[in-house]
Amino acid sequence: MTRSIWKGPFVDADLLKKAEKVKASGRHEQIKTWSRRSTILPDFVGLTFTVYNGHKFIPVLVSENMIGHKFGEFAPTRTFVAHTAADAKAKQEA
Amino acid sequence: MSLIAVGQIVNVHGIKGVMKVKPYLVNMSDFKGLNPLTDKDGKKHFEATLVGHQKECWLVAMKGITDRTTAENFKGLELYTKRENLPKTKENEFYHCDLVGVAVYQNDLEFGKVLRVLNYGAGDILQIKTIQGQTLELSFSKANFPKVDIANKKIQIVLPEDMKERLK
Repeated sequence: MTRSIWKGPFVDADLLKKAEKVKASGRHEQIKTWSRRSTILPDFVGLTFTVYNGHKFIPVLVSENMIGHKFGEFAPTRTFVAHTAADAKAKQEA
Repeated sequence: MSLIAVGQIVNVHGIKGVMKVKPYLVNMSDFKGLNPLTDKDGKKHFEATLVGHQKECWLVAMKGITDRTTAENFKGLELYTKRENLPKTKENEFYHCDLVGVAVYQNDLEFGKVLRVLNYGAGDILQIKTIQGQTLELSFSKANFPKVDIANKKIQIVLPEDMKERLK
């Protein structure tokens, strides 16, 4: 059963507080979180969170197309090893 | 001269020496410009022509190999190409093979080395091994890596405030 719309998206309160604090300070900082269940809100765009995967903290740079997803989706808990493509490119975000 | 693995001969196809090659490329259609292909040591050279596709594989005819028996001898061989044969990247785009192993500097002091490039769907992440032996992951952003100099194999790093405290 899906979550009722009237409740709004779920975000841990302390995460919301941390995000507001970092946004207001404008410091070059990552927000450490264990809250994999929290939904990514439009307010989080541009911020970097480090999400715990049970082993270490994975950096998650929030972009617009991630809104509505959960943080846990971007920090996998299991290792998947595959051959890296020869022409795989990395894009440097602004 | 640096060589990059672009595929592996997994089988043969038909009786005319055509080989089935599993590509290691993001886009299968990027076969053009990879010639000449070589083996791991760069000693054997192959002039390859793409003759078709079969599922996720290329069907490749090699110059001088005209029968199935000869082609079968190459089963399992990894095919390499020169790094220069890969197409040029856009601005702010870098090949993983160029980034891995590059030295990372913090305020002109050696900080570590790029171990690997990861991507879990939230942008690219550089995994760095510091000279103290610690491993850390950082988003590949302008804020964290303001200067990327692939030609001189140097990357400038600016650590986020929270990470500075953690590494103290």
